[in-house]
Amino acid sequence: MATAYEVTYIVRPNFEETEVDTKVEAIAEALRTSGAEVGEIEKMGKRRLAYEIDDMREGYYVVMKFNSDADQAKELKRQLGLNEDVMRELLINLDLD
Amino acid sequence: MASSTSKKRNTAKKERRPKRKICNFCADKITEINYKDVTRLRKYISERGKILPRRISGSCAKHQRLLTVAVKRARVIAFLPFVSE
Repeated sequence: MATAYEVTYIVRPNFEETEVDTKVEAIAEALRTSGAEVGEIEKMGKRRLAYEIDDMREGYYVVMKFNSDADQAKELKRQLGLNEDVMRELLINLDLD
Repeated sequence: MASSTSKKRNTAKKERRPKRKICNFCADKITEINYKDVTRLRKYISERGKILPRRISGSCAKHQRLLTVAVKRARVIAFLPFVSE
């Protein structure tokens, strides 16, 4: 059974706005092909980080909501961790909240 | 044992009994605390970045539990600091 998830991640700040958009779309597309149902994608834009990550003081925040099985969600988290453009990711199960 | 001594002290010096704080979240009828709501969460961490105890914040047990989870999530995604000087 599909579960509702929300993933928030931070894209490196040294990109143009349009580059970030294509990267976000690529991540969403990868999710869709894995069989997840992608919902709202909220780009919070460039924000200051509360602490330095990889010597960066700011980053582009993106929040994605999607419905999928646990396997797809786990795979997304793994992929975001491997993605060089993503500094940090946070996956949350909305059904448990 | 403690009660007998405190009784004696009660007559000598009045024991401090701060008035019970009302949980802010209950007062506002809030059922969930989101980790993205940084302005709200900021009020519940100390200057050092620590989560304020219920004794100080006045939150009820239920909302304090939700609050700690929200603050911890916010820390992971760098909305809030783990430590701040």
